[in-house]
Amino acid sequence: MFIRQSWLITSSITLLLLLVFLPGYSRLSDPIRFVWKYRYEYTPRLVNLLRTVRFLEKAQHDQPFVMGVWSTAGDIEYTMPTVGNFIRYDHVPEDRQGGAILVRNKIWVDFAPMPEFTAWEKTCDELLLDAPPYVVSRCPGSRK
Amino acid sequence: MEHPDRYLQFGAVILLVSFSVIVYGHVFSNGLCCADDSMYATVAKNLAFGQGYAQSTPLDGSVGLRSFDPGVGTGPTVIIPAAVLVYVVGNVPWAPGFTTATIRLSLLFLGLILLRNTSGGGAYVCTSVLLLYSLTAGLHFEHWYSLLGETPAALLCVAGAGVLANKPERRSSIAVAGLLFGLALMAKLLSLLAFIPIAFWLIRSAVHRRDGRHLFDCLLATTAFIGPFVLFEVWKVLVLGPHLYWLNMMEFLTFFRSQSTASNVGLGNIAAVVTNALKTYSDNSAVMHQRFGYSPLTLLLVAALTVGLVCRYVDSRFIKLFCLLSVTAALIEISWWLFISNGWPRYALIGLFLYFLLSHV
Repeated sequence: MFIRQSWLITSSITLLLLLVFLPGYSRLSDPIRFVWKYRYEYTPRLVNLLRTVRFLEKAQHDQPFVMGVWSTAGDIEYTMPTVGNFIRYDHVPEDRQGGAILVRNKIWVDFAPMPEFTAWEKTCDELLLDAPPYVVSRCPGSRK
Repeated sequence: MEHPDRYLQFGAVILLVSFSVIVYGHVFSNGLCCADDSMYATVAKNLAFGQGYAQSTPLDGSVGLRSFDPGVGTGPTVIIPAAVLVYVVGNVPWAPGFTTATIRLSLLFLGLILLRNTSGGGAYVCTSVLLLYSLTAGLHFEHWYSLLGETPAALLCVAGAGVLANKPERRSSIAVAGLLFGLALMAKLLSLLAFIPIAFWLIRSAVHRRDGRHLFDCLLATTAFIGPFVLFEVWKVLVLGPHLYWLNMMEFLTFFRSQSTASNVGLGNIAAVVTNALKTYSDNSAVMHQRFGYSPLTLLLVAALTVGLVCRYVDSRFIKLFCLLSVTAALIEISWWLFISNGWPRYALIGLFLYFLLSHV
């Protein structure tokens, strides 16, 4: 942009810009369409995140809630009014597994499925809240 | 040419405002989008809630709060301002992204300020915004609106190079540039690679001139650069104590090594190192093409054309030095990503941002 001389230079700069611009051309409108669609309102995912947090606030006596790997509950942990609300599934003491509440963001569960956590999901099948992509369910048994 | 420049500067302001509308639209609608940003946001929340710089969903699955978790890959340059905002407005979903979006857009605006008196500055900012938009639109636009360190780090590096190139003899420029690079380092450690050309340029100046002034400049830049890092490490020692600090450091080094494939082979075996680097290049260049649409050959062609045009036609010392610092930093960052890194696409962003900001010089 700091070079203004002959047609050769102009052509070179145009070629440069074309090389840089062309690969992303088809995707250029995505962010604009997103803003046009939501107009600064929460997406359904965020609405459901807040719904999940409100639900969990009422179940605080069942804390800590059980999560998968860190990514499956990071956004919920941030949004909860308290700190340290979760324990990872492989750190739950055996006597605390009965009646435990399993919470997960399915986007990140499905992103990197883990057989052990899938087994937890199958076992803890009493659905308490389904607010996609967030799922809250209870494990069988009662807390000791 | 005064009038066209004025129109282009006006156009740059309009573009920046339009870009801000799009970015903040995502901040308010789509916060906490991407797992990693939620993890960093949790650290900011815990800090704001008086629990220290701690992670409460640690990567290793340990129970309870984990202070200075080595797995938290974005640093205090963005987490501390996010914590301040969370302290003020609460842990709302938009707070983390609002912080980093504001940092990013302010740094782009700084570019406009730095270039306002330069011939062609308006056009440069217009093209910068369009190019950065085109690079990230679609697959990686979250880097503009979520709490991730790559984009702030890249823009801080560009700001550092710009400040230094603007007045390279002025001591305050050297100190500010060093500090900007230091803050970039504390946003994302990868920006250490982008500081290499600045360090080399300062050392070369000191050796070439052989006087106390330039040696002092080197020390000043180094002090400003490592200042934020040292302060953060002192904070860690005070919180963790010497023993836990040492363990934390060792764990961090293990985590850091896992980000590159070079740790898989010993450096003593040259043939294995080369073979590994070539295989990594083959894998990562495919990722680069798939995620960003560019082949390494295209990037090399753009760099060669840019350097050729700048060397042949540009007479501004500012632009020449800015281009030199940026092109070298971009090449180092992208070479690391292509030949050594684990190929995670977002790690390529610092190099690509530097690249894109220089490619229209």
